[in-house]
Amino acid sequence: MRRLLPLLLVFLCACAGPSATAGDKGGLVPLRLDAADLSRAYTPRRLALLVGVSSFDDPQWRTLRFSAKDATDLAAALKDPARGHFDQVRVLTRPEETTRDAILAALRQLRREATRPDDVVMVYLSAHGTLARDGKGELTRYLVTRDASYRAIPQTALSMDALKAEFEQLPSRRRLLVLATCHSGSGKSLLPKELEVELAGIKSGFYARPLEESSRASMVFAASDWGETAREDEGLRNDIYTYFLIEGLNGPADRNADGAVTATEAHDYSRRRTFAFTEGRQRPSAEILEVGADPVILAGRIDRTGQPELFSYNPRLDGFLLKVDGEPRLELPGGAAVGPGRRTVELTKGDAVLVRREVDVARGERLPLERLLADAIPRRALSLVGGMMSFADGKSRRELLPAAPQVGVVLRLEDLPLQNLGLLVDVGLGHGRKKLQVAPGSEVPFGYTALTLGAAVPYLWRWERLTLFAGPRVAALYLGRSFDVEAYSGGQRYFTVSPGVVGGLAWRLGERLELTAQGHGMLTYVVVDGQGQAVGFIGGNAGVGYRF
Amino acid sequence: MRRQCLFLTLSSLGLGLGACGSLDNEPFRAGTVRGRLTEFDPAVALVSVIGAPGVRASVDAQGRFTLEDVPAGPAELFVVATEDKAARVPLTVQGGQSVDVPDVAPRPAGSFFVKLHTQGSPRVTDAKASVDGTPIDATQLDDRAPRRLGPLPDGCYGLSVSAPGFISTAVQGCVDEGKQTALNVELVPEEGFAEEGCARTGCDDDSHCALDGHCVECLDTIHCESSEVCNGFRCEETIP
Repeated sequence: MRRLLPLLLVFLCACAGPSATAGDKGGLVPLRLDAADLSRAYTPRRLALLVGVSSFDDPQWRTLRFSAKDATDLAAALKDPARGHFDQVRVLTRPEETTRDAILAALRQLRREATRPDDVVMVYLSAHGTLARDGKGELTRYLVTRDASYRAIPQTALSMDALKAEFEQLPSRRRLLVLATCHSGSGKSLLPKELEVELAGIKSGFYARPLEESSRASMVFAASDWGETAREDEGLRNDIYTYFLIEGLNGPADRNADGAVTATEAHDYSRRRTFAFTEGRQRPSAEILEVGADPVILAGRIDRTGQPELFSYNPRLDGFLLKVDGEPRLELPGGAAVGPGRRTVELTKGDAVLVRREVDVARGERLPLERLLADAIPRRALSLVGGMMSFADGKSRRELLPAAPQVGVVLRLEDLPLQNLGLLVDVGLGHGRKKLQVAPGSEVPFGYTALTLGAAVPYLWRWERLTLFAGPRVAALYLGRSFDVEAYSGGQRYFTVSPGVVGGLAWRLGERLELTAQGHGMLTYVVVDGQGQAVGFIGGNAGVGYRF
Repeated sequence: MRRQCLFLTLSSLGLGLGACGSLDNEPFRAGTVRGRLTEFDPAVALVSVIGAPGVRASVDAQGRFTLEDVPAGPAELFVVATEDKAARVPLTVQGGQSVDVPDVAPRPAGSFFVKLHTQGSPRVTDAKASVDGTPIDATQLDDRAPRRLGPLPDGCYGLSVSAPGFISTAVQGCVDEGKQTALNVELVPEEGFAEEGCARTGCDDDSHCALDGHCVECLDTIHCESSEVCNGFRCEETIP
């Protein structure tokens, strides 16, 4: 659109001259347009809605000392032309502005104002958070608004789901939600007693994934990780996270020194400072899917090409230490600016080195570390495996083919045909002699050859060294039996293609070698004595793989 | 993506149905048993399989026998060697293969001595009895003369008896080597059979069939002793 702007101005200027005499109908009407006004109309707007809920109607909710101040302090930084230079900052702190309906109304108003995809929109909430069972009995997070009743949370408080739904409806693709609230039962969170008892019995699995998830177009930052406590501090006179967020907007957060503080830079700065200030008790979280050019600039302007940046917010790399040229720089998630040129980048945890790579980085470049990881670990693996195959039911095992050993080759191609999917091709061969048992005590010796060819497209779950996979599989089975007994001498052959499922794991031993194991279950159609029947066919194997 | 998944699923199912070839286990469901009797009477010698009396064979001049189509699995041969010698031989039949049993030495056989009785007075005629799972049977049995069923090797057997107008009956009995075991089999008339009257069922030796269908002591004085007269279907002493 910016490229079209000069053309549009030329066109409008050309049209600005008189083209028809007075009184004529039709023709072009001269308009007086100011180029600056026109340019301003096409400039993305910067809008913020900041909510600080300090006091509550229900005395069960403890008054928060600094929530309103958090909002007003952050507003000052955002309005400041030298810092945030936001075009519009709305602050809701008064009691009548912090009810559930008032907050939802303000969000809808924001939706009407921020109409362009490239508008920058920031929504900030500082309040109590709590948990309660919703109408379906599911544990749901709620923002405690001024009119929220401690005994009727689902009916009176603002559910995070509703908040998120409103946020997601904003037309802007540069939107940021900051939650200076928590829900762990202490600090800025208050929970009903019975819920506290229930939560005490719930382990980390419940806390595994915070609500602060984001769509591709959104960034959601939280002042504390799921299950932790967001705290206000008397000395800082703010919510701790908010204090350092504002501090970061003054400039220190601009890690790549390009003149602007982006949302991720501000969060990383505040996260590190909060973590240090609380001595590790508070660990702000972020969920960011938008990578590459960070679109949300919170303060300053990009007036020069920034230093190269290395970053990762991928949960797979959480806790890894980023070393650049041997120097520890950062514990992930987060980002670090480095000098341009050739750098030795390492990701380590304890003595283990996940990856060490030489990379060339240039000014202005932002390198996601997971890309480095993806390049470092080959995504193809060829494995030699051995295992067993068998019909699932005893009758088929006795009368068709007993469980038999098998050797094979498995080829796994990761991220094919799509990201996080894999293409799994396996070939297995079993050959030997077994005995049929068509009647108790009766054994009929025979030779067999079983050949399987399978193809699967499983979903991949990958961690540092472990990869789990599971998905649909199609396999062809050839079974040949040869008999040489008094009543029958000859061969029988059977071929079928079966649908089924496969699941397995791969444990990476090093950069190239891995241990792998997989099992499959198929539904196979066989014809025995002229009668067709569907039977289960299972198999499992394990072996060593080579990544290439 | 959804369409691709659907296509993949349908293709898999389609291919699954498109199997070819077949596996045939029929030849392995039965086997052959070979053996030889050390003592036999060619006129009566017979080898069969308990539970499959239809599978049977006679012996040749050397006492050899070959049983074919014996169901695979555990089995027991029922051997009748002479009128009074027999044997049972347990073995496992291998499907599709031959099994050679060691020489069979028959032992003195026992037998059942079957007596038929009825509830009430109906007569039993044309009854059939068979020792379950063996080729031993007898026909034309009645309630007058007991019959011997054998020879039977030492062991326990079921005996099935049927007769026209009577409910088929099964009894159990065991025989010992060289001994006769008496089996009293009581037959119960079928519902309605007895009501059809003695004109159909007959009467026993001491009674006669009256016109009303009941068995009575006499119909005429000739049915009584010389010193008696028939009075009201009963024989009574004459009063001088």
